[in-house]
Amino acid sequence: MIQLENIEKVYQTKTIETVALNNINLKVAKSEFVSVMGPSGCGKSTMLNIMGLLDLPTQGQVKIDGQGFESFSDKALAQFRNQTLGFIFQSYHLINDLSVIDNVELPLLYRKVTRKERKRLASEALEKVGLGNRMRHFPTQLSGGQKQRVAIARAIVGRPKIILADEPTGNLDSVMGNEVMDILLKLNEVDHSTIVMVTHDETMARKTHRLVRLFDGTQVN
Amino acid sequence: MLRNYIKIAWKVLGRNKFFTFVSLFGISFTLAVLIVIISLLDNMLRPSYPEPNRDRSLYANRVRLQNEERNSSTISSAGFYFLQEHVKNLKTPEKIGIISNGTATNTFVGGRKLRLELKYTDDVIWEIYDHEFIEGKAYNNSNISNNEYVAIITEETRDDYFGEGQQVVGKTIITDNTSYRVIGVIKNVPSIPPGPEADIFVPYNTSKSDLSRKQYVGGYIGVILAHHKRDFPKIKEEFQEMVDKIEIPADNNLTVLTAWVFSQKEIISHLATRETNENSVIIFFSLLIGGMLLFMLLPTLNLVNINVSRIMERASEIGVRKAFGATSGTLAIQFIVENIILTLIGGLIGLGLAFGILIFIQNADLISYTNFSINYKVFFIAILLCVVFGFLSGVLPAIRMSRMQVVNAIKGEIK
Repeated sequence: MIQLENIEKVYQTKTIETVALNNINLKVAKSEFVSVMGPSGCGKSTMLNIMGLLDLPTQGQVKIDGQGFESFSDKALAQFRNQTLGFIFQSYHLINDLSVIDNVELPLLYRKVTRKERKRLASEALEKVGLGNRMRHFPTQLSGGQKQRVAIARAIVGRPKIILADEPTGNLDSVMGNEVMDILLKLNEVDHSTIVMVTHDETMARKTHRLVRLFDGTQVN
Repeated sequence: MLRNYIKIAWKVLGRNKFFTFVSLFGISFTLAVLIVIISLLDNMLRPSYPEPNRDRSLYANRVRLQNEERNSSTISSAGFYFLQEHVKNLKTPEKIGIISNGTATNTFVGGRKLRLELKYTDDVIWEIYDHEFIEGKAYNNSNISNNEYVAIITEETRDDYFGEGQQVVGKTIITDNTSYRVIGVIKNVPSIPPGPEADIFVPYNTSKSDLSRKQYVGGYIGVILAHHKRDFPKIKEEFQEMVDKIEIPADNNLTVLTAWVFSQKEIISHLATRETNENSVIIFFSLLIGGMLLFMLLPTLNLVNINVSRIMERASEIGVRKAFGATSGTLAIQFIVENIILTLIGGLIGLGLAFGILIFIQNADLISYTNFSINYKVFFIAILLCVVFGFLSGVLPAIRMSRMQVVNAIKGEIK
């Protein structure tokens, strides 16, 4: 499903060259739930961003369903992300000015979906994460766990094949973290979503199908 | 989508009230000034009381006589003879009337001195203009043929001379030692050049000057009413042909005659630019539009600045939108639309302010008896200005915003 081939990411400034990722080769199968672990600054998030087509590798290739993206325009990439990928961020990145349901609807705004259909799909996604009763609330009125559940609803509302989660439980206590993790596991088991999750938490990582470890930009297992 | 933009725009406005106040103040103040200028100009150009046909009127108000060597000349309004004997013979126009420039006359009422502006006219002028008669009627051809000393006075003149609200038709008014019988009282007239306004109107043949003299240059204006605005070029052409045929007697030192007919737009342009050449309309309107754009520049730059700093606040939102499929173009449009919404709100406040200023000008009687209004044309121009304003001040920040790298934007880093 996802294939990283010889991925290298180098950040170049005038004086320093920092290698963030070095010769990463990774395959993620369809419906697989993979977790990525490693110390801070080892390149986990960079890898996830490259996988999610949010960042470009310095060298190497990303393929999703056998498709490379070198020739994709900004518009084509945006459309691909919209149809195929869903993102969950550590600090939720909800838009505080919009209500919960409006936040969840966001990916659908960039598709040809009627307002009524958008509302229906967003409500459905919120029901799935157990927040059907919080639709009219604003993010600032929610707890951290609830915010992350809204972010999950936003990630799944467009029914993407792949969910990329960057430390989804990183800002949550263990109870809320477990709740979020249970939702992700259920999405994988029931909806067969392919999930790649970056985490610091060994316990969470052990619940997934496979664990990938990074150290100083290099894959260690 | 638009609903979503409006929702976000509204929230963003409420987020930083000081920024919003500064932006809105800049926009509404600028737009108010521009709307007032447009409204004043529109008031002078659009057909209004008592000239309902101003848009299809031309004015023969400028004549020049030069010597053969072209080193001596006299330039002024038209002479009565020139208008009566030549201009009135034009075939293309629907009607041609004659009105003099205003003459200040003195009159005394109960030991009090009144200064009245008097204008001499023919009878046709009352068919071209549409003054509202409160009492009586206009003088006609037979009044003029019978050399009747009749007068039409304004409401204000009546109140000053005879007393407020009096019935005065048939009564006598004496000005500059000449007695006139009042034949009609009209509603006060706004002062708009070249203008159908005066305090008292009397037949041209009551003038003390000798109108039979072959005068080409003088103190009169020919008001030429076209059947349609599109006849203007044809009328101007016929007018020039007529002028070219006139031969000034050789005993006159100045024998080269040039005369012009102007539309209201041209007259206003001449007054504003102090130029009488053919390009003055273009010069005037270019200067006007240029000046307006320049006037809009400062608040636009201010808004650009404010918008750029607002991007910092919204970097993460931009990143998230991009991650979930928004293209740079869509985001740029979103930002421009939000900005146009902001300027439209500013525009509405500006429109209200402009309305207040115009009411103030009107009530303070800075321009006599003018009835200012923000008509649909002025309103439309104001809205257009808002959109242009919003677009100009939104486009640069929008481009900058849309070029942000998703990863940096999500982290809240502006690069």
